[in-house]
Amino acid sequence: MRQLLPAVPLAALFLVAFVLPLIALVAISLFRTPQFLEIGPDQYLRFFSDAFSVRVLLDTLQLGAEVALFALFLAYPLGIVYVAAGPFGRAIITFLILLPLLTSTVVRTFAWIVILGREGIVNSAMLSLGLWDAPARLLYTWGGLIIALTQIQLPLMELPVINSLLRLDRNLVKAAEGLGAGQFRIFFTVILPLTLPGAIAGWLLVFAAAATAFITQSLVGGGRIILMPLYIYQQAVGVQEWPFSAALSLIFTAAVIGIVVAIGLASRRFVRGVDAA
Amino acid sequence: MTLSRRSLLALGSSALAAGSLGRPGLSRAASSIVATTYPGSFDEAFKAVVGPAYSKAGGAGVSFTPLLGVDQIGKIQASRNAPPFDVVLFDEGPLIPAIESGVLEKFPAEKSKTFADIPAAFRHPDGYAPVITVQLIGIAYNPKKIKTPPASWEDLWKPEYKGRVGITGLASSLGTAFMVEIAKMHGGSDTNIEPAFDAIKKLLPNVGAIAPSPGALAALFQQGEIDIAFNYWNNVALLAAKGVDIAFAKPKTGAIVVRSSAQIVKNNQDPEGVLKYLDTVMSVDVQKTLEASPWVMMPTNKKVPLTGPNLTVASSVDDLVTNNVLLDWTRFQPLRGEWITRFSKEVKT
Repeated sequence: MRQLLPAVPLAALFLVAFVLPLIALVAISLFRTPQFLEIGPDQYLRFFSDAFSVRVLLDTLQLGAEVALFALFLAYPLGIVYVAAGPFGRAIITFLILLPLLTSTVVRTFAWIVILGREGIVNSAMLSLGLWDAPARLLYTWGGLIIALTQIQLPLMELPVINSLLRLDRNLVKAAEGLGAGQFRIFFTVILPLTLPGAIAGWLLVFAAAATAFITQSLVGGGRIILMPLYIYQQAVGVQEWPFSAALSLIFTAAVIGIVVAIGLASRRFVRGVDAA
Repeated sequence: MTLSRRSLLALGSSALAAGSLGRPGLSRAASSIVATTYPGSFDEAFKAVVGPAYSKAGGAGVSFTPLLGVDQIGKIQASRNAPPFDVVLFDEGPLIPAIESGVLEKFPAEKSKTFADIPAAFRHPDGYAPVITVQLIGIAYNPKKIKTPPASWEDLWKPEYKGRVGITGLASSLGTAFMVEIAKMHGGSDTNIEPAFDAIKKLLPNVGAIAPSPGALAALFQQGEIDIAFNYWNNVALLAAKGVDIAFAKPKTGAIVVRSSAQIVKNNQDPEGVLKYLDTVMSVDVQKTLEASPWVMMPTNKKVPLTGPNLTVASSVDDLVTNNVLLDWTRFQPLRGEWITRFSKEVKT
C-alpha cells in the first residue's frame, strides 16, 4: 500500500475532476427532457434514430482516422532522419517537434487560417507562380481541416514513432542490407513491423486528439462541417438541451474509447505474431 | 528519444497557468466586484474605460471576465449562493432564460442616478437593469470589390455575389435576428421562420463561408474569404479603423437593433458597488468615451450625442430607436433551440 501513496494526489484529482463529472453526465443523460422531470432512455433513442446525429458521429471518427493516417505518413520520414542525425541534428529536430506544443492551439489554428485563406500564403504563392488561375477555397473545407489538424497533432505521432525507431536494433537493418534487400524492402519488412507499437500508439493519440479538437475544427472547418465537439457545444450552450448533449458526449466518448481499445487489442495480437515470426 | 526535464517543466507550468485562467472565482479580492464582458473589443473597452471610471467614482475596483452570454447562465446556476460574477452582460435573447432561471435581481431604479436619462425603449418592462449599449445589424461589404453600397437584405441573393457571401448560424443573436428579419420579408413572422429557411437554401450557392460565430464572420473579410455579409456595426467599424477593406450599409428597411444589458446577479457580494458600477456604465462621461473612437459603442443615455463614425448610422440615440428595427425576443427565444439544430441540418455538407 505504501508504494501507492505518491499516486494519491493525482488519483484524488482524477476522481474529483473526471470521474464525478462523468457520473453526473450519465445521470443528466438519463432525463427525458431538459426540465429534469422523468427518467428514460429517450436521449439515446433520439440519437440513434436521427440520421443527422449518426452522420455527425461517423464524420468525426472519419476525421480522426484520416488525420492520424496522414500524420503517420509524415512521421516516419522525419523519424528516420532523426535517427540518422548526429547529436546536434537531433537536438534541432527535437526542438522543432516540441516547438508547436509550446504555443496555444488557438495560435496554431489562427496561423492556419492565415495560411489557408483566400488571400493567404498558399493561394498567393500559387497565383503568383501562375500555377492556379483563381484562388482555391481551402479554408472551411474538409481537406484544409485535415491539413491543419495533421500539423497540429503531429508531435503526438512523432514522439512515439521516434522512440520506437531508436529502440530498433540497427544491426537488423545492416543484416538486411548485407543480404541484399533494397531500401523499400528493408522499410516494409524490418523497420515498419518492428516499430509498429510506436506507430499504433501515435495513431491512437492523434486519432483521439483530432476527433475531439473543438477549436481547430470550428475555426478551420467553419459552420458547415458539423462534428461532434461543435454539435455537443451547440446543444449544451445554444439550445440548452443538457440531457441530449450529455448523451451526445457519452456516445462520443464511448465511440472514441471503443476504437482505441479495439485497435489496441488487435495490434497486440498482431505484434505478438510479428515477434513469433 | 527523451524529453528533457526542463521542457517537461515548461510544459507543466504552462498547462497549470492555462488551467487557472478560466476560474476568476478562486482568487478574487473580497472588496472588488466581478463583471463579465463580451470577448474582444467590448472587453478591451470596458477594461480601458469603465474600470478606471468605476474606481474614480469611489468603487472598490472591478475585475472583468470576458464570456459569451449563454455561457454565463450555466456558471451562475452551478453556484447560486456564491456566484462567480456580480454583474453579467446579456443580449436580449439570452436575457430571457436568465430571468426565468431566477439568477438575476431587479434593478433598484429609485436609487439610480442615471436611470432618468435612459429612454423607455432601453428600460426593462419587468424592472430588470436597463440597456447599456446596442449593436446594430446591417450589411458589411468590401468597398473595393462592391462599388455600389448594398441597399437591402435582398442584395445578398444577387447572382453576382456567387461564392462571396458569408453567414453565421442561429446560435448567435446576429444570425437569429437576420433570420427573423428575412422571414418577415418573405411572408413569415417572428415565430414562423420557415420562409427564411427556404431563402437560406436559395442563398447557399452564393454562400462562400458559414462562420461558427459573428467574430469569425467579420474576420473572414480580413482573409478576403468573403465580400458581403450581415454583421454588427461595431465589428465593421473596428476592422475598418484597422485598415481592413470593410464598410457598413444600413438596409433601407432599417438596421436591426440588439439591446445588451448589464444585469445584477442574485446573492452578489456588494449590492451598493454593483449599483455604482451600473451607474458608471450608464453615465454621460463613460458613455461619451465609449462612443468615441476607437470603441464607437452606441450609447443608451439620451444625453450622449452621437459623433464620428456613429453619425453615419444614426443621428441620435432617439433616432437609433425610432428609425430602426427592434425585435420582441420573448416571442421567439423559446423556439431558438429548434432553429439552431434545424439550421445545422440544412447547411451541413
